[in-house]
Amino acid sequence: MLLREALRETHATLCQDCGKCTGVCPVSRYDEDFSPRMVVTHAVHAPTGQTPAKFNLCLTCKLCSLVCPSDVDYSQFTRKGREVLREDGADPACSHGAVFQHMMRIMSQNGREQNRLAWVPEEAKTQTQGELLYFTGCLPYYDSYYTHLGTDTQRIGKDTLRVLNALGEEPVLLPDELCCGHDLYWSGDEEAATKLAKKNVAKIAASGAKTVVSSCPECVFMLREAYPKLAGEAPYEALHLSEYLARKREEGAVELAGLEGDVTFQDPCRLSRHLDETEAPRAALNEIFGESFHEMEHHGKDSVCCGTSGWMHCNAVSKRIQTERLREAADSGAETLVTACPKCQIHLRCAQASEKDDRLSSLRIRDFATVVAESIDGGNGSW
Amino acid sequence: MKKIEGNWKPRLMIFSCKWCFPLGLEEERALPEGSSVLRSLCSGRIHPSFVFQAFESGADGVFIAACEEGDCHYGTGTEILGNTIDRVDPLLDMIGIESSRFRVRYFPPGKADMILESVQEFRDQLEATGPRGPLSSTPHLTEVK
Repeated sequence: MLLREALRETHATLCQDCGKCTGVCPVSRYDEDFSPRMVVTHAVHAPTGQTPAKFNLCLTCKLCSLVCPSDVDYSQFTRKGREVLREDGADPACSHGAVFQHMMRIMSQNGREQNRLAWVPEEAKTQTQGELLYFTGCLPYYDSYYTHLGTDTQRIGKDTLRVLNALGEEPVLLPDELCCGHDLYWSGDEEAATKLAKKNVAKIAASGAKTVVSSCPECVFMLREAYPKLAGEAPYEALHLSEYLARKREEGAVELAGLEGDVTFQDPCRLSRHLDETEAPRAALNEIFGESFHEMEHHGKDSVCCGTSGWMHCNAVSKRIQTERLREAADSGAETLVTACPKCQIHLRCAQASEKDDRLSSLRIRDFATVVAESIDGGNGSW
Repeated sequence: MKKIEGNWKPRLMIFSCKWCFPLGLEEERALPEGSSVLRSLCSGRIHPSFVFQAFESGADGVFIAACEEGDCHYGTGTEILGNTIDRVDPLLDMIGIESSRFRVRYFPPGKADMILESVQEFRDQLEATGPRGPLSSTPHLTEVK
């Protein structure tokens, strides 16, 4: 990949230098040295062999693309730029010593038996072959790593199974499912992401699944948008849990009971902007919480990212974005912040851990799947 | 896939703290074939990612040599390493790397011979277990000693 190709493929050559991207960029707000406009300008004028290192700072949250008059796909430009940097041998500045990227690359290598389904409760009804597949993604791993944050991401998996069972489905769980490759893809390692994509597509096809549901928007993004390009085919339909639930509710398969408490919703960037889905989770939350559902100042397509993406470049700017997000949530009048992405939850909880303002640190952060499961079975079926 | 064509020898990555493992020329020569050592100032510096990077790069086993509890030159290193192990163990299990390929042992300061003996024992065990699946695609460790 050459920088020149990246510029052309993502329309970055059409940049009019208007600076609207920098105006909305959450990173530029706190880091005056970072400006998407300047990254493009530098790349356009870069002599061969010189790649702007600022590619690593972008959140790839796609907020800038919404306002760009030239339709520059800056997130993809960043991703391709990272590929160029990687080829140049630059360090992609991955968080946590790149532990997750190493794990993903190990998974992309051949021949080992995983033990990734130990968390599945005995009561859950699952099968090994069927029409519907639940792609769990990296949920099982995070609890072992983020022991200090009190995250319970396996809870999200259990609650998704509760919801799917309540909808009358017995989803397929793959014992040898691999990471979806999202973080490798976005950190510029398309080679390893392609290996994972091809293997996952083969495993899904072998299970006979026609529909793949995931509780993680990043997995859905990969399965729906990236796999057709990386693996050459994607013979299934990929849906986020909220989208699948919306479809089932239209069919009248389930009633959502009301729950108490004021809540707000953090739109994950992968779901709201990359997959263009803001309505499905809201429809369910409106049904469950009615007037106690509040919107944050920035919501839907305008929502601000949780501060880090793809386990890359977590820094003081990320922390400020996260704190600001928590402040908006508290200002909306909510006591509970509902997210639909395990990483939003991890990042916001991490910001809470060092937060001195009680109003922000006492916000309860829950996943969409957990809230829906509670609404469906009244909390009685908690495994 | 227990046997690979040719002369397969286990590739071993050793992380150690510099206080418990004085690594002179003599010790370096005594290290088993196919092993690399990375000595950090303290075993508390050994991040979970080190272990995964070693496996990604094609190591068949990872050995950590650390000071015994209470012996840490900086006070808290052994405790921090304990935290690291608690995070690494379940993750290795989940992604399918046998627990027998990751070993942590504690030593009194300066006893290189004890460490070398322990490393040799680990290596012999790895040799009996066989290679870790088909060889890695990025075998940075193939060229070591």
